[in-house]
Amino acid sequence: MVTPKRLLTLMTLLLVALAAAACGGDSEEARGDTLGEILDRGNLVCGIKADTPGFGVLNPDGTADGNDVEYCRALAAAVFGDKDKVEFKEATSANRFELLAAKEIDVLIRTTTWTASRDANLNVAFAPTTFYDGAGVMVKADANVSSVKDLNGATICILDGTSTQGAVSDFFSENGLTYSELTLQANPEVRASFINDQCDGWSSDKSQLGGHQFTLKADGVDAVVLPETLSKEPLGPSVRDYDSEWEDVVRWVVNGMIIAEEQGVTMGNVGQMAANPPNNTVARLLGVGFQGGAPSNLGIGHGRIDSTFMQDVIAQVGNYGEAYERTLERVGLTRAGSPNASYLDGGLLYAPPMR
Amino acid sequence: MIGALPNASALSRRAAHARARLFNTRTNTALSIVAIVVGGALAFLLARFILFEANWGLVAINRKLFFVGSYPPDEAFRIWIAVFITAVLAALSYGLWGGRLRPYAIAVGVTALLILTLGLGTELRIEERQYTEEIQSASGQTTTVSGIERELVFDRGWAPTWLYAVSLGLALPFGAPWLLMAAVFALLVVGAMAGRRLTRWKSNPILLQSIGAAWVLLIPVVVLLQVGVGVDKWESAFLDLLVFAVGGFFSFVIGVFLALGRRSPYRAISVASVTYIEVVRAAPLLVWLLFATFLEDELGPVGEAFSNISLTYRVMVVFAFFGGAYIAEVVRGGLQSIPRGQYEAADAMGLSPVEKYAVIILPQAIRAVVPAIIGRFIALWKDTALLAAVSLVNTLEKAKKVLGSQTDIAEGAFFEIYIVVGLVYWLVSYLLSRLGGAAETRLRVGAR
Amino acid sequence: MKQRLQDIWRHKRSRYMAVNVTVGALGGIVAGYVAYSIAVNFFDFDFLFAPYGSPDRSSIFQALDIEASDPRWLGMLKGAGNTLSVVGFAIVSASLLGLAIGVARLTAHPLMNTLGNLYVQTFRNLPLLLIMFFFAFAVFRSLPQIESRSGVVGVVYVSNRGLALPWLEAASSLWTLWALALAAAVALAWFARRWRLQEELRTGRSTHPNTWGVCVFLFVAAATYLALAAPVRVTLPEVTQSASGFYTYEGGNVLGLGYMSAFISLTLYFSAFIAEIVRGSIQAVPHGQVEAATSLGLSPYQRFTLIVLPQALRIMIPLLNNEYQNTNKDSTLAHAIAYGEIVLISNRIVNNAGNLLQTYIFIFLVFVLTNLIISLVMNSINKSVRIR
Repeated sequence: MVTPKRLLTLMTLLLVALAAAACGGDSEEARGDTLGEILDRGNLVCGIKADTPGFGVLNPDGTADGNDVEYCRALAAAVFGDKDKVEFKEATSANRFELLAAKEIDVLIRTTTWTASRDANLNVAFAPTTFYDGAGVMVKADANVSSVKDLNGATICILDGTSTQGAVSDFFSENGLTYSELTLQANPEVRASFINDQCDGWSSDKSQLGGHQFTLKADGVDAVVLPETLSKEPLGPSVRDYDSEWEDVVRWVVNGMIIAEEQGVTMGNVGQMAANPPNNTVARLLGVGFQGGAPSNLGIGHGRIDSTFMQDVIAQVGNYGEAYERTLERVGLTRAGSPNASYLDGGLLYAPPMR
Repeated sequence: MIGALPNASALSRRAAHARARLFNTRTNTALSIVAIVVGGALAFLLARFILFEANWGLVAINRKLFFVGSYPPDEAFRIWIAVFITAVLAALSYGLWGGRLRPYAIAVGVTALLILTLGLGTELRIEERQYTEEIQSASGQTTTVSGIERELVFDRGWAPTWLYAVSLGLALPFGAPWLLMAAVFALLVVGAMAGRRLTRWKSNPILLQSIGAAWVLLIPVVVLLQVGVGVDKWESAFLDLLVFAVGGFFSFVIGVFLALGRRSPYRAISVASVTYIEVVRAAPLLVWLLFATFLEDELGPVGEAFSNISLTYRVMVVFAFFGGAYIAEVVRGGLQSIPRGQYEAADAMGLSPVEKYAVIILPQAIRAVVPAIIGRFIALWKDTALLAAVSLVNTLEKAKKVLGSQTDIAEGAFFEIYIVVGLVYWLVSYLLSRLGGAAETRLRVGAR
Repeated sequence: MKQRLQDIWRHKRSRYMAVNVTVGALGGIVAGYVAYSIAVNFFDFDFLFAPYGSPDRSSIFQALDIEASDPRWLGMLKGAGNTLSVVGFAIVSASLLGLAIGVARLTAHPLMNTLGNLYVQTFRNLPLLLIMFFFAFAVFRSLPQIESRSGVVGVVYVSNRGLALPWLEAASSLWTLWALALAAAVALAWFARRWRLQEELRTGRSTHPNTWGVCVFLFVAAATYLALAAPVRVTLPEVTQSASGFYTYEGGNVLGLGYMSAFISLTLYFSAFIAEIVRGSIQAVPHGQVEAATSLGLSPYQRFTLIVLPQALRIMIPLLNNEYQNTNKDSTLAHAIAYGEIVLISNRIVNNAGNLLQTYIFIFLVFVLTNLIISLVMNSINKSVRIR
């Protein structure tokens, strides 16, 4: 039995030990080599979202689909030349960064917003944005509301541990409004709460709200997404800090898929393009020579992955637009005219050159 | 495991006795009315839900997920072998030391009948339907999108709905698992009968030790059977049972050593044991689990090495060390109950300290606290529900995923699915507690 | 050398010394390693002073609601307060329910007995987390919606948003004085009851000590309430509709679903264990005691409260101490149903700041401290029921 005396002694001991050891210096940040670990293991472990149509759905039987999932497969294709050498693990909004830091996953591709505080404080580094988003609020269509500012006193359902929590808090306090927050751990719970009127509004990234609006409609619940965008939410893959070689791979697979789209390289024509590249940009992207010249090697992965990795990625997963088309377009997230259009079409999507 | 049914005349006598007490005084009448109203209302609500309101098809179509999750179907034999060994051992043990055979056989038979026959002729499938919808976007424009709607189609077999409902959606349609399940039920009965034949030798130390050893060996055998299947494929009830078995076994070993350490004449050993026990017991299991999950280099190179082990194994380690601290306290109680004379006698016989504890003291001490140890095992089994909190897919987490993933069909099935998952946890705890009860009775009878 | 080691082992004194030094050194190394590794990363508390970032209003006390602008250390303290506010009430209600069911299982009444047994077997064998999920996601979600105004209109409302209850609210700054007066009233009532009890023992006539105690308390409380010009008032909840059509509770106090699920689950689960403790302890009281009390002409109520319960308490209290500490520790499971207890609040901080070690050690210390308090209270009760 725990007796008071014993516990007191225990606590004193603990505090003394802590104080005695207080002289310790800073530990040196060890450099990680996730790429090496992945190659040794023979597969990639990707942390994804389990319950968001369009972005990441992890089915109970272990299969997965969604835009984030496509990038996981693209990474597996880049490293192993086989898009199926990837294992999916659910990362919830509340535990994703811990899972990444504890090496439970190699890369986190889970609609994660790139923010300064996360970059600075957490053991996480962000790769390029794969989707430009912003937080919004969705309400039921029969509510007499046309703006988030009408939601004074409302109860809002939010996923726990998301940057949306902060965005909603900021917006309401800046506008002198009050609200109650009902935080939940997973989207199905939020959905059930929203349907059952446990909350008046559902706040999340607008793109995801679109997907949910769509599935709600299928169940006969009409909802509208309110016009205000409460925040900037650039979503993309993230890896651990001090792990630059793996970070490079992730970064350039994403960039490569964007460039492939700009250059018109698709799943269907990549073989032909590799055999006969139309220009230097495509030749460098695919790691081949232009007009019979020496094949280019940009040095991503320092020889541990093929210099032709983008050929595998595009042949098996496709370019940015193709991945988008297969997943997000299907849940009603129109790309044309959105920030996620290529810069050539007036969007924000712009990749640094591969050279 | 069903308690002995008294014979008919005893039953009616008892009923008459009970009736006589229901309305004999004013207080008893009032109590009866309250009990009848409360109990009746609960029974009515439960029956109405089970028989008429629930949609057990949702449970039925997902039942495999609740037991083995996404375990690769080609490797299912590894689990079946474990199930067969367990069934044979359980049946033999019941036959040898258990209660009456007939009620046991009837219980197994009725369960088998429900699970095996009700599913015959039923068909469950998910139908997908393409559909298009118009949705309004924030800026007021409408877009047309298309999607897939899933619907659960359930063609019932020969049984009426209410009878199907009683089987709680666990009924198996015909197929390979059906045959294997039938074999398991048959083994449960045949094994028990074979065990009864052997009763003559039930106090034979060789038989006792070999069956005891078989139970203990079952754990490594089940784990070894998994070689070749990744740990990440262990899910649902199978994961819960594995973590419980491995964690429980090692927590017992650790607990015994800690209890001995606590009573050690060497002060350093007893202080170390007490410190360990109190530190572990001070914090909730959840905190230890979260710490073991998210620990990276906070505890230097040792912590980092630990964090490189697969999470499932790490959780087993936490269960073993956490459970050990509690079992140590139980075993300590047993050690305290051993009269001083036993120690003195052992010393007088010239036994070494190791012999003294292994042969004389520990067997008596542990015997005295078997029910309490089983109580700790029940707690440990229920604690496996917490694996859901550290992103391992146990039965509870699988239930949440099933509820979430096929939102189109499983929506609103919270009651059905939580009831069935609760039944899985409840059944194991209940069987364990019956085992504890039986041990208590037996020990009391045999008390010296 | 070997000879020398054998000599050390043979002599009791030197053997003890050798073992103690070796094990002590090993233990010291382990403890030192852990302490050092912790200390290397531990002494960085800047993150505690950054704002918490988002509000959490799942507490039942307004003072414990976390605002987005609160510093993180305050958030963690409030989280600890939320843990206490569910554990405290759950312990009280689980004890009362457990007592009732434990006694019901002892009565000769067959139906009560069966119902009690059913209750205990059901809740004792289910995982607490599952019970919490069941209430949070299945039961409470299917409660009526807020606009239906279910409940006793103007007093209590039940909906899937939570339970709205009448609550006390400070009407003037004198409420602190009245709180002190209430404490004094409890003490006075205690003394009055004791005095009457001594009278009863001295004269042998019934002096109604309990009635006296209650009356003294009510009298002092009412008198000071009037003297301080009604320092607190009752606010009643009501369902109101905002301009844009949203329904909310105004006034009173709203017990959110996280709190209600956690409270009810802890109560049901632990009352099953407490019922067994109560039953076992009462059964352990020798039957001769009851027979003796009966032959003295005591009523069944007197037999239970004066003879059986005090003796059973001596067995019960150490076991209850354990169970209460378990209630305290298991309240952490409520983080999974979004009740803002210590683990949930800390996890959000870890999620934003990454300071795993500091926050977890804080949680650890909170539980060491709260369990210590439970132990101290139970031990002092144990002392007061000891045979004198």
